[in-house]
Amino acid sequence: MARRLRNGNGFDGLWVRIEVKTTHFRIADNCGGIPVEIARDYAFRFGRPKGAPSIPASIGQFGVGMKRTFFKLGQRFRVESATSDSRFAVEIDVDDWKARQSTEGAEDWHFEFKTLEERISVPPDQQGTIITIDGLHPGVSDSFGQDPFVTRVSQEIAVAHALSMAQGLSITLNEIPLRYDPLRLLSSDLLRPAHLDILYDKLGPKPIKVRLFAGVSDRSKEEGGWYIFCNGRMVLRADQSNLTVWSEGERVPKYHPDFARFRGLAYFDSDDASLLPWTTTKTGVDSDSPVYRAVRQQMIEMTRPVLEFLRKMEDERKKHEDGDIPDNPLARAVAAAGPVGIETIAPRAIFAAPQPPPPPPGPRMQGIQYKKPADEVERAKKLLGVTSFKEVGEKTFDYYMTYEGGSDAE
Amino acid sequence: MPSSYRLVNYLLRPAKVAERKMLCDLFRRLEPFGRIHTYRYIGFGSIYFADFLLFHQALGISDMISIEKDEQNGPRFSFNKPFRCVELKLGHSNSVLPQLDWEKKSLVWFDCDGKLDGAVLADVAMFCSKAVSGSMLLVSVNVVPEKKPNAAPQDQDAFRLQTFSEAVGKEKVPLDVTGANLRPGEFAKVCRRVIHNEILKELCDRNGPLEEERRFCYQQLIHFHYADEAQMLTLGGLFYEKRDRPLLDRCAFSELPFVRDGEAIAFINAPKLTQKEVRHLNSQLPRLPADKVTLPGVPDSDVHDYVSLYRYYPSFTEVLLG
Repeated sequence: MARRLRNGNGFDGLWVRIEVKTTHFRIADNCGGIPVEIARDYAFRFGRPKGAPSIPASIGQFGVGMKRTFFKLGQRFRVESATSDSRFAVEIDVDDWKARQSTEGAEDWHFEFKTLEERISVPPDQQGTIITIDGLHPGVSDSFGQDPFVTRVSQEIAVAHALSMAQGLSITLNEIPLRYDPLRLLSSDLLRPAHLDILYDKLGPKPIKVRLFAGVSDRSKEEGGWYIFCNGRMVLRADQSNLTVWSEGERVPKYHPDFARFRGLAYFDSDDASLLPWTTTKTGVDSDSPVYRAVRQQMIEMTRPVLEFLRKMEDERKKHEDGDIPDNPLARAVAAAGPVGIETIAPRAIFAAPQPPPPPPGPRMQGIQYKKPADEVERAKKLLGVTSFKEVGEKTFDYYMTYEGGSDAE
Repeated sequence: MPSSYRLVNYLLRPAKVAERKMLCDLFRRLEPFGRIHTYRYIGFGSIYFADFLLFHQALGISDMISIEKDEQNGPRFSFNKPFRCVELKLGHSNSVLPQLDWEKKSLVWFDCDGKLDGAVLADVAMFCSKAVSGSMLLVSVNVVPEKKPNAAPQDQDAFRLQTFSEAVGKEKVPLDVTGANLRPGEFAKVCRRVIHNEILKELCDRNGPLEEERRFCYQQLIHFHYADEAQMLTLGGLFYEKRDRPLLDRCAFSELPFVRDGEAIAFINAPKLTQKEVRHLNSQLPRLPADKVTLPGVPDSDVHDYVSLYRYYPSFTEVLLG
């Protein structure tokens, strides 16, 4: 609703207030209300009639799942909504309603308006929607009373709607404002995230806009991966599987802690929500969607240079720790880069990052690893007069080669 | 094991020389898609840069990228760049290719020494997901079957199937392929199929959301078998958007005698002939039917092989370069 109201111009001043209590569930917003014709012809009918008007860039194909959710939660629900020129209320007791269905015949699946006013003038501060469900089913009521459940719900909402919140929408749960953690990528003159825009405008009456970003962020094994959004809602979080790009032959390896800095963000937006590659429940990605399969190819290719960089950085870290190289310019470049929001990232198809300096001239080096009893190694260390095990290895090797390597040893 | 450039002078492999010249003729035909000198060439130039020499001199291509995985010896590769316009990119092609800009029409030749494996397929997939209409991809791989020493035939089959599955990835091996399909004479067919399948799969994904006219098609043009030493396969062709089909028709690739659009193979057999024999044969060419061409004392098969590639036959000579 907020999207329809603002039409892509941010959500400042709009709010959603959610109450999850043992006695009831309530969600109220000031996001413009549900127009009577949509309520009448669509939202309170069962099933989705063809030809229902599409709400620009809505998250739900509005109404799908809404009534089912009501039924799952409790015994009674009340929906009150006011737009600038109409106001209605629907109030249902599920048992009564079911009983009426059986007496009046199964054909009539309509809900009736309890009150309905049209062609009126509603002041802005009264426009919005309030949905209240009470007579909660026992299992539901129990869950709603438990703190861990409420915390999890708040986290899920914050994650799924971070983008809308970043655009100004305020969401509270039991009067506590939800905090969102916007996804940011590290950027600097040396380190630039990839940003690719794709427009598919021949798939349906409305185009699909795809925005892809790939780069690096804070090191977090759990948060590394691809994030997928449909009309602003996160439908896949930190994916580390082949559903996005991972374990794709030799193009992209299996996800690995070395890639814990990787972040990929894919935003699919369309005024026709049915074109988006999400599952019918809107909670996952439809991997068979042709749009998704084509975009996934591009996600794969955007991912590869970032992983290449992270591999080199890991290589640099090891060599630097071992004292094999004096400097760690890649790690310094990452440390010097700052987090930026995606709206500031200019389009560039390929992730840009500094290259490691060329290997020092000289023969190709080969590491050797072996184990020997600790007291013998300590003895060798003393005999050699050195302080590290690395030197023990090097000196004993040199000693052998001096006497046995000869000048013509090949 | 040393890199192959340290074992063989690439310039002196006769079938390879003929192959390069044929590809040059093929590339020339791309004019309907764009002036050939405006194309970009991407290859593995090694230290000899034979392909880069030819394609710059013969076609005027000046946007050239040579990918070299032997990073340690970067200075040597850099020193041997034949022209200023050749850009050397150090690193494995799997790492370098995704970092290139793919908005330009490209001629790409993955001329590998080794066998088909997941890394080669990754490069093929990358190309298919990015290349623009009018671009060409060629892949050369060694198609000598794997061999387990002293193994019984059935063990050999099992060994070959396992090695191949591990190399390309289990899911890329067609269901009906058994170890028997990976024996000499058959292995190259399976390699062709696996590369072909990879191309089609990637194009299918890429095409899904595209309107009919913007969909990408692949037209195979090259299917060479040759052996200077090891048996090699070169496979490839043109990628174009469906709306560009008339341009493809104008290229008239089928007029080139070595073009193959399916399983049929163009063999490059460069017979060993003396310069006098070559001159004698040339004086009778071109001529149809080819069996009218004669050369005393030389097997007919050699004469036939020569006739089929006489325009591309290499001429080696020793000169003192000062």
